[in-house]
Amino acid sequence: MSPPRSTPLLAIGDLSVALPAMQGCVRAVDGVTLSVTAGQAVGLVGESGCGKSMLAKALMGLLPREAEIGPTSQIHFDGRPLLALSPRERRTITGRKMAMVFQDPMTALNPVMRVGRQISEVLRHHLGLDRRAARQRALALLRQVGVSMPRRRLDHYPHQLSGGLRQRVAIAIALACGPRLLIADEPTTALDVTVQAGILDLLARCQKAQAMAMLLISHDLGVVAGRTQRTAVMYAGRILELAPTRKLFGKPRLPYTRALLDAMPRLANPPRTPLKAIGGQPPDMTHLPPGCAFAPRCRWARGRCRVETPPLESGRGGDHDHRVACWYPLEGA
Amino acid sequence: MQTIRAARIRRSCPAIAGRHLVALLIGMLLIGCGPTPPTETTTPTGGTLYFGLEAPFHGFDVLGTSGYLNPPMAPLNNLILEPLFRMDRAGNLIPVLGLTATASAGGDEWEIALRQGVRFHDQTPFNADAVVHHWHRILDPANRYRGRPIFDPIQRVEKITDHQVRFTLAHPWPAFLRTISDELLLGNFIPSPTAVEAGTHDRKPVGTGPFKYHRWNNSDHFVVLKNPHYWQPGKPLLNKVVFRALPDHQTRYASLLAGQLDLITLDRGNLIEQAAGKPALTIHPNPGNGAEIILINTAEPPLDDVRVRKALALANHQQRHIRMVYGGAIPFVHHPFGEGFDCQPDGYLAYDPERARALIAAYGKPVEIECLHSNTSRGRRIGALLQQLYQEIGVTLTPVALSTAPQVMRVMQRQYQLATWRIPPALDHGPMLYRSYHSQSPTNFTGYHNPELDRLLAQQRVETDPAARDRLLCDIVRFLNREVPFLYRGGRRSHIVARRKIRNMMESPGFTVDLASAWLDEVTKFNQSAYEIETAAAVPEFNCPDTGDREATRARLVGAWKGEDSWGGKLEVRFNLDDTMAGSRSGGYDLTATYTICGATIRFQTKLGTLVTLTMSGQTMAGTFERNGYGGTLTLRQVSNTTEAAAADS
Amino acid sequence: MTATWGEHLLVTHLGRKLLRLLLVVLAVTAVTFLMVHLLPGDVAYTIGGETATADDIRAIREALGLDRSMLAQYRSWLGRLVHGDLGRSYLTGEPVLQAILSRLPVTLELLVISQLLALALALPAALICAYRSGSHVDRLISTGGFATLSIPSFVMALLTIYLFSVKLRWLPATGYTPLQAGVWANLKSFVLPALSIALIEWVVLMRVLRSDLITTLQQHYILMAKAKGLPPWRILLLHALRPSAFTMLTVMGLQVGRLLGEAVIVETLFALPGMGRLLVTAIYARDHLMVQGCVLVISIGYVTVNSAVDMLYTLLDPRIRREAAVGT
Repeated sequence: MSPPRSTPLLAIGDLSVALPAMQGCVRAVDGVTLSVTAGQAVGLVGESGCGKSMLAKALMGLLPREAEIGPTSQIHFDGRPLLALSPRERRTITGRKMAMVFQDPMTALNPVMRVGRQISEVLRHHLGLDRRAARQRALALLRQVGVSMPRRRLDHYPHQLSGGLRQRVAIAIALACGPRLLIADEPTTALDVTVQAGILDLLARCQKAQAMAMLLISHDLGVVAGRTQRTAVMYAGRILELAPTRKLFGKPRLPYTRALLDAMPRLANPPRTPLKAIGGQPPDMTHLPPGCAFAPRCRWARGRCRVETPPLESGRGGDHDHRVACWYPLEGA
Repeated sequence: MQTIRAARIRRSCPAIAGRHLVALLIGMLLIGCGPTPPTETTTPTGGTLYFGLEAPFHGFDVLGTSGYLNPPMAPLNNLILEPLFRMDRAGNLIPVLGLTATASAGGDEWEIALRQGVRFHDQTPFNADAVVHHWHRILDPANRYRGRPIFDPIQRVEKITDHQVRFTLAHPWPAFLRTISDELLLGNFIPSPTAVEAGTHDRKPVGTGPFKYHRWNNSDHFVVLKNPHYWQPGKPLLNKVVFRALPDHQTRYASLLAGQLDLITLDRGNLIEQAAGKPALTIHPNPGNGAEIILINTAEPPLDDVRVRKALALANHQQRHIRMVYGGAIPFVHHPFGEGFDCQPDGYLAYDPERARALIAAYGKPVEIECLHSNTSRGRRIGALLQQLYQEIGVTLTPVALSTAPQVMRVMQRQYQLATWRIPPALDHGPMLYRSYHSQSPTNFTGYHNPELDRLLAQQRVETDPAARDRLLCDIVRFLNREVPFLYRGGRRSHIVARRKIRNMMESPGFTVDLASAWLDEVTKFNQSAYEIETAAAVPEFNCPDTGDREATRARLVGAWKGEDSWGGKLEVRFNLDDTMAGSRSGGYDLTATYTICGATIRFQTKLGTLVTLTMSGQTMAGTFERNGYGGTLTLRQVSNTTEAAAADS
Repeated sequence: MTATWGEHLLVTHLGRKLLRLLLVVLAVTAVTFLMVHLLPGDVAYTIGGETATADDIRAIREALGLDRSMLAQYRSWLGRLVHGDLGRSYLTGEPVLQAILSRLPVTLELLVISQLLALALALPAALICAYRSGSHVDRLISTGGFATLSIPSFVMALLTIYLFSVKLRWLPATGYTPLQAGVWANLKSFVLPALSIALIEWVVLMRVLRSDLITTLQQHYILMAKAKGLPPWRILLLHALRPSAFTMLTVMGLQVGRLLGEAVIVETLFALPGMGRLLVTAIYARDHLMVQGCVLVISIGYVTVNSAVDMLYTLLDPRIRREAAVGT
């Protein structure tokens, strides 16, 4: 393990989240350790259902009431132990220092509340602004996130806005109090392809401009490429590979990451190059196999993979930046 | 069982017997010398009485009614309107608007002398014209008055002099005086001809009574005010009586307990028994007459057979009706003439299921009958009880619940077998018996006809000797008990439950109550001088010693009144109004009040209804607390400028 | 969309509503007329009483015009209705319109206060139950609610009278104090009657609101509101309540009819001079002009309340506003 270069803004240690399911219990997040330094953008990639949204909810304190957090789990934000705080104390952080953009802007905005009020509500609650000041700030925020005719939009209801505009509004709400960490959970998945890039670029721009840390969650490696410094690959509740984004893309060591990259369409490929789909089914979280969860779908899996769970470790070459949880990591691209 | 229950009610209220005596004594005095001033010179006046009735009010125009007053309406009617005579239970005539009644030698003419100097509430003089005007309306065939058959023998009414009228009869009619002094017949009450002609009497009645119409609100309440020009000096004593219609007996009783009402009519045995256990309440059972019956259509089989009807009578358990349907609140009867009328042996068929079964067996065919009853819970109970009683003798009875209109319709069209019915109370039952069971009468709904009964019914109409007539009535009863055109469910007795503070409430002979001389005990210590003070309309004003400002009319009373009143109720009054106060009742004892004026504060203690005197800078104010329904008011008036004791009678 | 276009839409919208109201009223009064006439017995028997003869009954019926055909009677009733004349009560001679107008405020006040009380009970209870659904509090309130639901209103009325009037002496047991006698005194006379309706009514509202709230609380925008760091009460009141209120409002509108039934019982028990008592007395007495008048007013009220609920929808949910505009 390498010594920390600086105190991370967000330090997740051995975070586990268990959810009661029809049969027994699902470990949606299983011993995740991850840190995000201030101003850094980190990508979190995995197939749907791998637990990345649950991780985001755990960070925001939005877990359903029946969810259980493991006894040894820890989340430190800005030096404060989030899990030890009372709900009231936690609410002073949530929405103010740590904000979140949700996947589906169609349902994330309250349909019966004007856009302006949904933005200014945060400002009034956290910053104690009065109605006028909050509205002025909301107007500025809308401008900042690139909403045209912002003054008119303030008085619109969500259903009067397009999906892209709604997501911009959601981002404006998240940015309202100048958070130090922004969690973007699949911010473009529900949007038209034509507006996806615009939203992602907006997020990246804001992240840089405000020196804000960002946890960009996506099922799509292409989304995190070029917009994050580090990327974590999650599978069945665990982080299986964690590396500087460029390294991960250049030299993935986890067979799963390799498979994900192969499944991506590339402009460099000649037209009609077939995409390589990942064989097999995504794991059934209620019946995880022993050993490595990816083993049943892994081309390189051997006997040990099906018996022992590999830990997340630094690579053989002493590369502390590149850690992987695999008994037989890939060597070279 | 039943008699024991009644006795208990009486024993627990020994005051009732005494009050009977007083009422009788006063009644006798009235017969002797006409109006008498109240015997107690210190009898308190004023106050408002709240009277809860079960039925909503109906119009007062005699032509709009069937002739009989709804008994709960009678007390109200009796306060506003007056008849020529009343009659006590011993049969003595009490002069009211009439003074004397003299029969002609042939017995078919009566001359009635009228009281002079009486005016209706609208100042129309009461005289022979008023009486004749009223009776013309009743007797005029064009008016089709439905109560006309009751007065059938009366041919015409003429004026002799201004204060003398003559009633001409078709034949000598021994029941004449009894009938025209019946307080349950609206036709006997003389309205103001002016109001009747103006068409306003129906909704705004105008009479000569001790109270006059004030307000009639939406079948909710009816307010009458003291008639200051009442012809009987010293009456009435109350200022105001508010009648309220509360159809539900439970909440009516609860309102009495909560102090919102002072007296209520009540016909539920269980509640009457409860009330008997409360020291703050008195029960006034009014021994009425008439009966609750089941009418039988004797025209069609199987009920045309007297054996079947007798069997029904023998299997009918009257005491069980009384207990299960009326909670023991009505008497057990053998005839409709009321308590004190004895026809023994009257041939009443007492409960005997063995004999009933034998009669049904003798009839030899299965008996299946239907009984119409009201669709109220009481009606359903009657139906269920009969079904059960007749099942025991092998008779199948189907109860049919109907609302009033269809039940009356089916009885009148003779499309029924059994139907719950009643014999209304009356001072004289002769006319009603004639109408109900004479073969030629259009209102003989039983279809029973027998020349022997017809002869008896006709004979009682003209028999002038009272003893002989009573014997005839008994003969009729024996005949009816033998032939069974109806079954008895019980007699009639009304109950009024009152708070003990109401004094001198007389049980009127006509099965109602007389409030003309009633007074409220809460003003017991209200002496004559205080009364004068209250009526003196001086506006209270104080000259403040320091500033010389006149500010008393706006002075503020701040404090709370906790008191126990003389009838066992507890009272707490909080007041903070200028010269009135409102409050609510709850526990506590004495009144402690603080009166602040001109910057000074006076504390005083007193009891409900007592004189309150306040002295300040040589100026005295006095007044009394008067309960006004749920709250009350304290009216303070300036008395004098002399120095007096701070609080008198506290 | 221009303003005139919008106004035009509004006018046609209101016009349609009025037309519908007219049709409903015509249909309801015609059916009532028929039903009252089909009932056995008529008001003549009530007026005549037990001592009347067949001749008396005939005379009364002639005097009241009851001997004419049903159609002729209905036609003349409609004819007079156009001139604002509802006729007179056969029984008391009181003009029907006057009788209704004097009693209507009593029933309206009773219904409004009872609904406000029911809401005052149902809102917090539903919010607590939905927020903590499945918890002990939720189960306790729901079970308690069902228990009160099973108590008939007349038992509830007697219980409240016994407690608040006879024992505690806080409130009058029965009776009506008009508004002119003071607002407080007037309200005091309505507390117990309204409470005995509300104590039964709130449960229905609570159940409906609770289940809608639970659905709403699973919406993404509630998660979003939580992510904003808003306290629970703010989320419940500002974000969840409004979109959850539709079914409850519909139920409230539809319950107006059932409430009138409750009002009959409560008005009788508490001796309130209201419409319910007037109508029932009139039905029993076959006082059919009074019945007609009451039914007329009640059906207008029913349609109006439910139209008002429709309009409330559009106020509560801007999406419906657009659909309505597009739809017409």
